Amino acid sequence: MIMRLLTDGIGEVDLRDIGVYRSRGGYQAVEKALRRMTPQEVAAEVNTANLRGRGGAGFPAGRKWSFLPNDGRPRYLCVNGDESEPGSFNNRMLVEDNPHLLVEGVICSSYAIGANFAVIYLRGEFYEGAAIMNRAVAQATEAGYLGEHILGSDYSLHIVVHRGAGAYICGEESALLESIEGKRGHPRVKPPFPAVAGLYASPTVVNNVETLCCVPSIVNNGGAWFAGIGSPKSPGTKICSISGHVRRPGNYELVMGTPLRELVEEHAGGIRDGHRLKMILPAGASSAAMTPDQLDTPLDFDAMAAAGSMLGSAGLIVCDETTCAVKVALIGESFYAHESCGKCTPCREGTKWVEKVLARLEGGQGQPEDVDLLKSLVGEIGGGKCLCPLGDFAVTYLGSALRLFEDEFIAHAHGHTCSHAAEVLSA
Amino acid sequence: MVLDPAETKEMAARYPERRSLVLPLLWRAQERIGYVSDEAIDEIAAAADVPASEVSSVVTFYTMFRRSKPPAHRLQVCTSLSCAMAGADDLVAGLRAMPGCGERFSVETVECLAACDRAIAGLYNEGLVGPLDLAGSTKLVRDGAGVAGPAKAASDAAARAEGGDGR
Ligand SMILES: Cc1cc2nc3c(=O)[nH]c(=O)nc-3n(C[C@H](O)[C@H](O)[C@H](O)COP(=O)(O)O)c2cc1C
Ligand code: SF4
Ligand code: FES
Repeated sequence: MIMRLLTDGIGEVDLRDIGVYRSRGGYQAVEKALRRMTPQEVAAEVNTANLRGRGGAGFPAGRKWSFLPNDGRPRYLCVNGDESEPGSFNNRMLVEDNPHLLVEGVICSSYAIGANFAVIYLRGEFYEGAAIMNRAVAQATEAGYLGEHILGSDYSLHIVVHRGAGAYICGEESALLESIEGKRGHPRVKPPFPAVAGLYASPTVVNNVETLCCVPSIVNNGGAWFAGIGSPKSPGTKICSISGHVRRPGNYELVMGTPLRELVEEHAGGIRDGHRLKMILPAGASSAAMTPDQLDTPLDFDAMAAAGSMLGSAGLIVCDETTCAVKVALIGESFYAHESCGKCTPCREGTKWVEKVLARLEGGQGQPEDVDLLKSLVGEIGGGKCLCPLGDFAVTYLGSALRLFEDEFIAHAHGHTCSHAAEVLSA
Repeated sequence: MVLDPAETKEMAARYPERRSLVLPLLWRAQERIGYVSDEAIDEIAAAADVPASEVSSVVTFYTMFRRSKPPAHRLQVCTSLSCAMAGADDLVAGLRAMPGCGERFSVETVECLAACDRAIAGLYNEGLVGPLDLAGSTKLVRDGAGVAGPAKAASDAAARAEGGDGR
């Protein structure tokens, strides 16, 4: 079911204008939090809401916030707007079309955790998004929602918009912090976690754009109200980005727990004419493929995991029967081989090796033993052996495809190029 | 002098620590002269209080920083999954076969631009473009016009967020 908490007004009015945003109830959460609530009360509402991180892992934001040690060091909030997982495009919409909602969420959340400095990190390709976000921050500052003594309170907050420059790995939270510190985006060894030693070695919370955009409605309506929406264990809404072989690709904000089928068939209009569904990669290129018999799976964190895949950031890529499972693996692996930061050997070397094997399979130059080779490489690279989860991401789809579409891999390994290969590219 | 010292000072005041200036100043330098020069690296190293060698290594890590001037018309085409499924590789091959490619304009491939609903998506200089086809992108690289610009794009995406037909 569609429910527009975060996307309300988008496409109807220009929410980038602070006047318009305010006329629709915008910044009331800031007014309420700063005038009538303590930081602890705001954090408690977010905890009650059971707001789970929208960046992929679904970790409860309230609990993450509670890990910050109380030791007098400054605290920071960093917003993860790196959005680089192939298939995900809802953060870009929020940043471009509802920037004040994010600013408002950042203010409420920073107040709750006691941060006086927050960074909105946007991937470098978001040229327009960065300009829009900077304008929103300037408007909010002028309106008295940012800066010193906000709304006459003791609370002060400064936000900077910090741009990345083309590195998927900077979406990993510790690499993101390195990037804000002006370094190469290499993930840090954990522990210590960012809550203990994050930005400038101070206690830091990293949350996704969409996660923080949920906070204003939680402040306005209460955590219990939010917790009552959708799946009991994954409450709220989720903006699902759907693309590929569907009639109406786009972003659809759905109540958590909406069946996958409703999204694909109703909202996205179903598979393009004359074709049928082959598989869905529900959390972008790095997720295990799901098949048509799984269309009744509810779109929430736990149900998608129970179905053998994940909700992640809900960037769903839909493939019809013309799509070659080997080609999809090759396209994905080239991405990970290129984006590996190079720090761990299994990830750096393994992704390149898998890419090479897939390229020769796809080109009809494969060997019969290549299928087993791929299976063993999946085991060697995945399974949490690397410093960060990118190593696992790199083989998740491949592992699932080797199970679901093994016959296609075997056919390729015997020199048959895919009968679908030409169609995939001209589709 | 590549950077404006007054502006650098103003930017420095926004961050708790100076070393955070590295990426913003690299962007500033690239906006001003089109690429990151040796002179810019030295200025940034001084402003951010880090060794020039470190600034250099940051430049090579991030694919969007350039060490030389790009052509005036620059089209970057996404070849990640959703765009590949819409024919991105053929589009790139078609554009690269055009006379003038590599001189008057460049055609590069990039990874997912978070615009998969507009496959085949691309970046024309700094603007998001798409859906791209061969005719549209040929016009684009020839005269820098003819495909929906970023403003239209945003409203399209917005309309789709409603759950209706945005097109
Ligand atoms: C390779 C890699 C890429 C990631 N990319 C992103 C990203 O683009 N955006 C994001 O919010 N989280 C990303 N994450 C997850 C972050 O590390 C982190 O868990 C998240 O920002 C926490 O926010 P949340 O709790 O609000 O979801 C990525 C993780 C990994 C390992
Ligand atoms: S798993 Fe890959 S991306 Fe992550 S730290 Fe290791 S080499 Fe870098
Ligand atoms: S796959 Fe091309 S924009 Fe996402």
